[in-house]
Amino acid sequence: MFPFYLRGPQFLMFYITLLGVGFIAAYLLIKRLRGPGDEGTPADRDLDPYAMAFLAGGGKRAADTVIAHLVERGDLVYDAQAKRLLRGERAHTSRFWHPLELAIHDSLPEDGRSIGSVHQQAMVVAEELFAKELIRKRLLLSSDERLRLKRIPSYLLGAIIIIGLVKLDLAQSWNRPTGYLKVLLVVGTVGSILFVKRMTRDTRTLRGKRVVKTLCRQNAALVTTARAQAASGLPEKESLLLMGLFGLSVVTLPALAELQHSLLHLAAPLMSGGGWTSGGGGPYWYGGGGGGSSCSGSGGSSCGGGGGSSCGGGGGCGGCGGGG
Amino acid sequence: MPSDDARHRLERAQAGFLRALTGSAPSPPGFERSDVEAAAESLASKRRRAVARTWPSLARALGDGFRERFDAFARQTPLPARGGPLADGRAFIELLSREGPLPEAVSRQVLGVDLRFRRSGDGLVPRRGFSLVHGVLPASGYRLLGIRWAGHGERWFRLPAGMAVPVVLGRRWSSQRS
Amino acid sequence: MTPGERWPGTLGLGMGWRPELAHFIDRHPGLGFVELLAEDFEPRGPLPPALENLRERGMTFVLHGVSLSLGGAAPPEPRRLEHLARVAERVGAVLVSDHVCFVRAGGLESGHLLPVPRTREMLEVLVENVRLAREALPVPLALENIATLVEWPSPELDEATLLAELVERTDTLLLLDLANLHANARNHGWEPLSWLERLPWERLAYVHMAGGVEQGGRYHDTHAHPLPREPLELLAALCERTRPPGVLLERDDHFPPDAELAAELDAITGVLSRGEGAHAVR
Repeated sequence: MFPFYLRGPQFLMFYITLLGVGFIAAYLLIKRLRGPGDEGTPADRDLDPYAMAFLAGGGKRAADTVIAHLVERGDLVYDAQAKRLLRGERAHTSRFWHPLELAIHDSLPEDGRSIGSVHQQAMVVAEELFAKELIRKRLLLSSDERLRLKRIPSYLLGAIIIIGLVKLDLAQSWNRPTGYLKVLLVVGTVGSILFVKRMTRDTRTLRGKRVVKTLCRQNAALVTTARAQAASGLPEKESLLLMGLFGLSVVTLPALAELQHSLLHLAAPLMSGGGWTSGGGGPYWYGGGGGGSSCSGSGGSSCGGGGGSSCGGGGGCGGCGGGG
Repeated sequence: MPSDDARHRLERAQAGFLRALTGSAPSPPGFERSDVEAAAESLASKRRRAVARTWPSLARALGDGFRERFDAFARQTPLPARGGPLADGRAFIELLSREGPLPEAVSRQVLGVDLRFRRSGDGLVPRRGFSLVHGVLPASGYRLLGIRWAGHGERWFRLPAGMAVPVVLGRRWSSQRS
Repeated sequence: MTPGERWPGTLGLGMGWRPELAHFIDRHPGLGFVELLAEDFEPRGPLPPALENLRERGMTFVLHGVSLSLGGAAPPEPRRLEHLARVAERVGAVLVSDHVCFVRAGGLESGHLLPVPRTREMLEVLVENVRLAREALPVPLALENIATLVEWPSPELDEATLLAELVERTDTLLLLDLANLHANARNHGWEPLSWLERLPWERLAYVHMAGGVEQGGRYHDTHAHPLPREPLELLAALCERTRPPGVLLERDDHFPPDAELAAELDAITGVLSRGEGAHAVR
């Protein structure tokens, strides 16, 4: 059969090409499997701020946002020493309470709970509240779609690895040298696994990504201003949108400093990245969290100072959702 | 076309005037002394405010002591030619870091700036290509690692403080001098 | 006189773009142009998204520099001119401006805009420096008057005459800062209205307005305080003489609530429309 009877060096060249083509094909497949690339109807894009936070940065972002917002509003109080959240003086006015806010607030016992467990709960509630709606609007992949997103490119790359294995078996039975082929197979296998993992971690549809990207772009001026100074006095809607789209690190409210610090350090994996400034996503999608705060600090201020010229360099940590 | 003589005369006169304004020489003859003093004060406070704005972490960390300590530094150190208040503050922090560990927020901002700018004899110069910085933040007990590709973005990693990081490119800087 | 160097357009109402003001500028209707600080931008790479959005909406950009030191003893540094020219191209600026001042001398950097001695000799140096700068820039150059707390002794020329001769001889444009004029008039006893009379109006590119504060018997041009009455009165006086192609509000610090900034812009618009009315009647 054709490829297996190629001589050693020719087969290696053929196999390298095959792997290259395989990765490109897998990339295109993954893109295709992410569904529609349009922006959907206005109704699809009409999301409440927490659903938007969930779409932009996953359960962690929605949880960060709701906790920060409730503390900012005074409905929760954060005890930084004990790292516990307590109920504040809940105003029984007619103001609107989002179901996520209610769930978090009402489930707190008298003596409060640790911020870690509240955060965990908020993530679970957010998932329950928003996932279905986002899937229905084709902003998030359904579980079937997710499975296909992972499996189809895996089958493709797996088939290429199997071709290599068959050739290896044949070559060994013919007593040919197989060193290079073995190296190539190891590299190809590890590369395939990492590639599929990384490319499919984000479980949004193309539409979902696009909606977030467009909103980030529309709010570029808002986040620029927020990064440059305390975003105090922002209307509630804008403040929520800002935290939801760009993460907690863009708002620097003195009252929130302790809380922000705790949330940034919450359940952080061993290595956590802030995300390239050009990339979308956030902790949920890229499994990161932490250190981004230092970059938002310096980015904003060096813009303001005038001497730093970081404004021009692409806006520091400017990427939507980047910077943890 | 002005003569070279004219340019030289002007250079001397302007340099004398500027020295008076930075407080390193008396007011030149003919100038209104009180005006020179007012202008000198205005220059000094502008310089201080610019650094405080560019380095909010530093101004917050030093609190009320910022003014006095920065003014003492500014009297000894001329404004850097490149990088403006960012470079001015960076030089001030370099001086502070010799006296002891820096507050964590300052260290973080320093890492962020060092990732984007290279320190040179006359201030800060934007970095091109790849750069990498890392430093230990003693209070939270972890190490921050920043990687940047100019024009493409930067990425920050957090590692346990004990983990050694090989320096591939860029300059090593840590908030704790060992 | 090269007609291409003349400022042909109308800029309208403008605001100095600062990251802190990005959100305000993004939403404020009626802004025709924004001024970007040249030293904050790199010649390469994409524009910050907030500015990209403005550009897509058709906002005009002008570029404002503070570090050429055109009134310095040395010719402007090629490195700085190159930077200014490339940034102007990158942001698509229709105009570049800097000040009639010096910012460094004898190896020292001042970090400030400092006054030049108003002598004939100085004027010759300025003319040559400005010509060099003009030639290096891809767009017209406008020169701005500065505010100063201290004056050089025994001037041979008054500031308006120096400015007028400078822009005429170098075929450049004028960026008239009325807050600076007010500051100098207040601090050095100048007569601002006759100062205005001596300027070549056809070379006016746009006008700067900014706030300041009275302190220790002097007026300080801080760009961090509310816009006082006097610069607005000067603007009204200016509008009686000519129609300024653009008026720009600068605010660099202590950023007030949006409503306050909007009120200052409205005050400027009010003066301009009264001026328009007066022109129409005539």
